[in-house]
Amino acid sequence: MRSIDDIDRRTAPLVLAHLWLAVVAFAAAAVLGGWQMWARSPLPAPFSTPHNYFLSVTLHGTVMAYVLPTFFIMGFGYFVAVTALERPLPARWAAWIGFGMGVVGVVLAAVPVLMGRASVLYTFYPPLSVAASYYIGIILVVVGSWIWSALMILAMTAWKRENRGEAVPLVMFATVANVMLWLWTTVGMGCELLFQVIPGALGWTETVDVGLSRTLFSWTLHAIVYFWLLPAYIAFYTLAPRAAGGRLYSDTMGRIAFILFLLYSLPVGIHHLFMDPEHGTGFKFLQTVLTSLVTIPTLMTVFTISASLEIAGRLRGGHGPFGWLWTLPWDRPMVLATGLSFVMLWFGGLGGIVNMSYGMNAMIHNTSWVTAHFHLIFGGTTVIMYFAIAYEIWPTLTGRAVQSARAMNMQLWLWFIGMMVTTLPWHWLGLQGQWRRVAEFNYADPIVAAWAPYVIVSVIGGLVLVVSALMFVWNLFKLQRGEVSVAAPMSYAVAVYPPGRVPGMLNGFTSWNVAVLVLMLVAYGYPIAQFFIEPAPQAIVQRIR
Amino acid sequence: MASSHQEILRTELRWGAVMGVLVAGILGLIIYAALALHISPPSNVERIDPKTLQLSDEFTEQNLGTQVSGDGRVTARIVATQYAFLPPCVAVPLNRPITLRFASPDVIHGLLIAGTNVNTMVVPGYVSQVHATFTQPGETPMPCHEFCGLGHSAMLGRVQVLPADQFKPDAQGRVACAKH
Amino acid sequence: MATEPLDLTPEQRAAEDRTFRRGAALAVGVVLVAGIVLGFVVLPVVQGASVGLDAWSAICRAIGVQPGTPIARQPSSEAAATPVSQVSWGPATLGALRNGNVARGAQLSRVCDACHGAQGLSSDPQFPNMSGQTAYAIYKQLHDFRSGARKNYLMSIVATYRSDQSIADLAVYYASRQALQHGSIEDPVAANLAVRGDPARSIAACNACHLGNPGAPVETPNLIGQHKEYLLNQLQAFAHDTRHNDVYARMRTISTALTSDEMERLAAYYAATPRP
Repeated sequence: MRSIDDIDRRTAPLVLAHLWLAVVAFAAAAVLGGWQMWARSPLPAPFSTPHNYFLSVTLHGTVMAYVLPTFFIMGFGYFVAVTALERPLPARWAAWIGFGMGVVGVVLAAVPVLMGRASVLYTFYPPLSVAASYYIGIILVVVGSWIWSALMILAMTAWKRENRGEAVPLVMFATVANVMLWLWTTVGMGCELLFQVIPGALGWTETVDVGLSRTLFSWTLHAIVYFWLLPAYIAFYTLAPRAAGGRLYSDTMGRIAFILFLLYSLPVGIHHLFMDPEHGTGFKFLQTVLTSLVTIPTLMTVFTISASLEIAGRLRGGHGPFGWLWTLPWDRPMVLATGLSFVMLWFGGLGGIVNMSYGMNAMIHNTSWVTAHFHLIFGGTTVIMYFAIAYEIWPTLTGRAVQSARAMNMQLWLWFIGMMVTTLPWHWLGLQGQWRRVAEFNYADPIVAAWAPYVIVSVIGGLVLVVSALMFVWNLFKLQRGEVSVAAPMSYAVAVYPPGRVPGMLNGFTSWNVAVLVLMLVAYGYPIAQFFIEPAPQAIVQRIR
Repeated sequence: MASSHQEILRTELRWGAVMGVLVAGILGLIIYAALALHISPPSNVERIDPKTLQLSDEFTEQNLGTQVSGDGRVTARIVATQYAFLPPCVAVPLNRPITLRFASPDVIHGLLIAGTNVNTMVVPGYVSQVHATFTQPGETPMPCHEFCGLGHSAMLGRVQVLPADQFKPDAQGRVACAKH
Repeated sequence: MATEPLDLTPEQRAAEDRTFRRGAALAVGVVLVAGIVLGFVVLPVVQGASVGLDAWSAICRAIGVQPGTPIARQPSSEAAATPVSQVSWGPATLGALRNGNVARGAQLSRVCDACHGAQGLSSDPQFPNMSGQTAYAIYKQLHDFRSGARKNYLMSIVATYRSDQSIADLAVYYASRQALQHGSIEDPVAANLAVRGDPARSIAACNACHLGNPGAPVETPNLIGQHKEYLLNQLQAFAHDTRHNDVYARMRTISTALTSDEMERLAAYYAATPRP
């Protein structure tokens, strides 16, 4: 096992550039999120106007959806490619070009948002149309990430050529699974932006087919969440068992889980359109069935990782059916984060089953229930693992030693508590019918007044989240300025039975991409084709005048 | 601890089978609700041009609101526009099926009526249709729940659920909300 | 610990992959077929049968090639259109405005000078300032005067014999000119309605539409620098339903929710607000 600097001395700055951008943007967006909750609460908030509120939601959403995950995943991907394959990154110059495009994109998008000229949240809503540079900026971030995608595939195929017949390390296999998922995912939003939204914003077209734009966005909308989520799963499988002092229960099941994510997170986006008029019930039902299958890899992961941690707990002297839980090293951030992440995953996952239900969706569509669900799954389950990943790899990246994990654990606990205190009331409010995306509520109305206590509790949760987010930046900053140590080598969890070789189908993606193509053709073929077979009446693009 | 690679895979597959049954059970419930209770999402692939909506026959201003047709069926036609519903208050009968039809002349809107299954997007280019029976008398909000511009937060309609003795159609079969 | 041999023969590899591929195809296929049969056949046919819908129509509705849902009959409407304005914003109208002739509009505007001022800025506050108004707003109002959707003793006559092209030319001419610049006034009541609105009364912030944001109907006029008297007259006319050419009652709904004091304040506020 060699340290990152032994393998490729110039990778660490590349990874750090990506991660620092993600981290700083995240902290700023977290502060905005806290303010938004305050503005919607019965408590008097400063600067609270619809203009400011929707500007803030746009910034918060754009950063959390497009900046934080994309840059974090790119940075972590480069790190994995070098440390797991133990070979230098191919074409590092291209990676810097990708990063540069991303930075330019972020600036192009952020400027009109900050000027209040791009308040369309981060989900665009054509025929609303704002400054074109907002959309172009997002496209640039995506194109930058395509460069990353190409480099990840290149790194894996080069390794396979050099190590014929051997199993690609699980961590790299999973990273490339996420690359494949991302390439498929971006097609929908890319087409919507390039062929509908940007021509409208530039004044080249006067009308837009709204049904088509919603369908294209739905193509991206669910899969993108799995793109954000997979690094958390990568950490579950390849970092947590080692951090706990155990072994991965099954490498094969890990591969199958990541393949299932690739297959079943894509042909399911119409479950975001259950309440839409432009698709027949048949396609909605079909995608309900496909959506239900995406729970399987998650439930398998819960089993495999619990078993892996059980191995660790028993090796550390735990006895009995649950005694191993107490002997786990919960003082290690990666282990703690995994445990907390699982708790949030259960709550978020159960809520998600309501969302995917063909019939029940009507109770909660566009209520705070949905906001609660995706904050719990992404903000909770996923982002807490981003924290843990950062804590895990920072010493390797910077060659500094961790002095004490206490502040890190405290930060993770605060994030968990804040997320639960924020989102549990939101779930309840959603069931009461609290609707989404408004700048303020009229608390003089008796129905709304009854929500006030829950809203105030969630604001307190939001405050805890803001504190935790700022603490995260501080912890990383301190780590980076800490005592110089020998650059620690990075290692990933070893399976109970490490695979020497695996079947070709579990070592690459060619056949699986064909399966995705078939699934997408069935699930999205006619729903998209209908707009071309008989073009729907279009709506006038509403531009800023 | 499992003694071989094969045995580990077997435990995983057993768990997988249990989870498969669980998922099948959830799907079974959804299918049951659709077949026995007729619960399905509001799909109504009916196109209408948003650019000329106000010139259309059905969604012309005079025709909006609640109407009881000759055969006794109740239909409410509502336009969702920036930043109001028209009519701002919809009269609906208590314990009697009603069809709600929505259309938008401008951008994407949406709406829900808390405590009922009424929840739909209103996408320009389509008529959104919801079938419902209101079982609680009284007045309830009908907010726009989809971002439709900076005035979105104020886009708040109302629904008045009227018992049979107050749900009185006029000569044209029209019913309006009671004034306060 | 690796128990399996590293080197399989190519034939063994192919066989292994084939088994895998078959299994995967079977799993994916079974799910797809089950979903399709249930979603497009079983569910709609059973649901349709209960409301007297034939199986074929129910299936077509489930696919989305026929309007309606399998769970209910489609209602019908016998209403005939009685629109409050004949203007619709299609690519043709928008194109006519984009290609409007400013020079011709300037010539045509001579007739308007008497009331609306030689610079498009009127000296009598009951006549609106035209300069700096959006072309869409002017087009809509002239069209409505011509069709009778909006009535005014002078404008109804003036607009009568104007062609669509003349209206478009006039609209782009005035839109190309500078609006009046005023000072500003401090009025927290008006500013609050303009910037925040009042969700308790379903009043959206006036600026949500009137400040050029996306999220405004095409014909939304610019209010800044308009005469206070003119603005107040219009708000009152909407509130009393003596003016009703606002499509889907957008202004009639809001103006009836405003108090007369708020109308005064808003009229004064916009008359005095400087352009951003």
